[in-house]
Amino acid sequence: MILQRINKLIRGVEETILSWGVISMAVMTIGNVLSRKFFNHSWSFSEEVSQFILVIITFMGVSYAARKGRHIRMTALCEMMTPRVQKAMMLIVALVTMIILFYLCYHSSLYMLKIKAYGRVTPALRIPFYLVLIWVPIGLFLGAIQYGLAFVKNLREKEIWLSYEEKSEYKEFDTAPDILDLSCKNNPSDTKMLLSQDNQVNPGVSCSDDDPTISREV
Amino acid sequence: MLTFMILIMLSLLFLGFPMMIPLIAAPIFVLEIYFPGMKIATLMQQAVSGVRLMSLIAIPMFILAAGIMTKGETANRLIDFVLSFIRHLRGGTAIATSAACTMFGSISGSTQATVVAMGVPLLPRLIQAKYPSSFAMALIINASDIALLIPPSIGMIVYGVVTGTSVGELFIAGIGPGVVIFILFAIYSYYFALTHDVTVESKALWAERWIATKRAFPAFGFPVIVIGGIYSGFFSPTEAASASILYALILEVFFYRSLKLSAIQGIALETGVITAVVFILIGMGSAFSWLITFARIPNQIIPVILGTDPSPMFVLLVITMAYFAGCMFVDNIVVIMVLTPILFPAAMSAGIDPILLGVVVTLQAAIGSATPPMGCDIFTAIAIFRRPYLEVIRSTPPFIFILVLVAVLLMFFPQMALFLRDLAYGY
Repeated sequence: MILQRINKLIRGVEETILSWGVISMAVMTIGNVLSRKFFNHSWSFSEEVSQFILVIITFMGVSYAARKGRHIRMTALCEMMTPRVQKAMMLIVALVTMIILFYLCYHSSLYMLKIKAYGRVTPALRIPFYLVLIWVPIGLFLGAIQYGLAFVKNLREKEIWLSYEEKSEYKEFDTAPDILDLSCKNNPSDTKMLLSQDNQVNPGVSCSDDDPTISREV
Repeated sequence: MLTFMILIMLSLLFLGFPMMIPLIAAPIFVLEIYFPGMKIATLMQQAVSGVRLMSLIAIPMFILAAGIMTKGETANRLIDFVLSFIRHLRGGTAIATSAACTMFGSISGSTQATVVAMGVPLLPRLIQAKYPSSFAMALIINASDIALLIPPSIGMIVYGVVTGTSVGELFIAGIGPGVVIFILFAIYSYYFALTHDVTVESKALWAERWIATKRAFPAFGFPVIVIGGIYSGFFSPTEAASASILYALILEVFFYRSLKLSAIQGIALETGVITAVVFILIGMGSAFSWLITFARIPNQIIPVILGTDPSPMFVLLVITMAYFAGCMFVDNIVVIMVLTPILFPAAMSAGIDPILLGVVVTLQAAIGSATPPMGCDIFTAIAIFRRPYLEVIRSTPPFIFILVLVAVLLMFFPQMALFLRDLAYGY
């Protein structure tokens, strides 16, 4: 379906922005340190560009983290409820979050347009500042759509969905078995024991640095 | 107005909203209702300028460096090194776990990254040595707390940015309490091994130790870069972060050849997601802090809680309890963003050292990340070890007791944190 392809395309764009944003920020700060320590000359644009990348990552990441169900939530109370109540709470959360993100998107566009009208430029590179700010409404808009999709998905399906792409129950961490395999390579019996445990994963809470996807290469 | 704000935040929080929503919804409603003339765009402006700070760049950089080392070999080599020296002691495997977490703390700035990097290889090892799995997991998640106190530390960077205190001084001051916690954990592990039937591993030969030391040796460059670099004034925290990325890349890609350059993109994506999730909280939190100051909320709250002329000790006690309670339920970045603008001015007027306060706050943030019901380390452990919630938390009370004990000690003996700072910065 065309909408799904658009969704996939946007996910690709978000992934590219997040990963290359981090890489270019790293290159920039490393380059700046080397240049300052060895040539006594700092790159004036480095700080500025890094700050802009931070803004872009933050707001584009709103959408990507929503898509992956990675935003930090407190689910302690939610999980004590019956599945029906949980489902209802999930619907409310998705809908209200969508509304608030749309609202913020609207107001940040106003802010962006105001700055555009002032013609403010950045100090070192003289880039129009609104080109940085424009990512704020875009990210919030895409994030709102993700929560809208989560709402629809929850209406349509019986199970509880954390987001359009991530189911709440029995979430598989793609790389977790890799981690366990490697970690237990010295004693295979433990691998079985660890894996035979019921996979009671608590996917409702994803933490800021929760990092199960970093696996090791064997 | 205050009750209204608290009501909105708590109800949205307990309904299970993503935490950025209560943080931003409360200011929106307050502005719409009590200050109709103000533009909501001001909040967005605050959110953008909140994330657009030079000193915050250190956070994604430290996350990236830790990611490279977790995916590469540095983490495992550190563990082998520690084990080869202390595994033959009574409770040696457990003590080695605390020691490895402490050492990895000098590479990683967050507790969850440490849980993943240290817990994954060490849990099977602890279970093999017949430690009960709930003790082993409690040990891992609590020892990972030390990583937040040993520099680098994401919590300290956020605190430093919010309050305008020197991140370098905070980093140095965190080392003392971090080491004290390690020692107490080691003592408890020893006691646990005395009272339980756990295996004592065979003593490593000096040849093995020598090899493990040689293999782990390059990893000691990280504390040199981070602590030494900041201590000597050669690096700012952000510069130290980028230098550790460069060092990690050189080690893993060219020296150990454990990573291909193409793997970096995956690590960077993961770093980007973690960064975004943390930074949206910092952004929305900055909007919240701005509103707190704008609506003069500290002036309303502080006299009620603290009275008119509180003693420093009482202020410190109240602050400690407030952060402790907050961190139990909410992510520690949120707590720092929300409570600090309210309590920091009161602490300053009571004459409390801002660095000491930063260490107290970071310690509470660390405790909170391993404390039920909502400790993010607990959920990380559940996710990577795939064990039930209750099993993960069952053995945490003794560790939490030790951590609270250190928090109390820190109140009575602030020198635990400050002596290194005073030494380094010549106060």
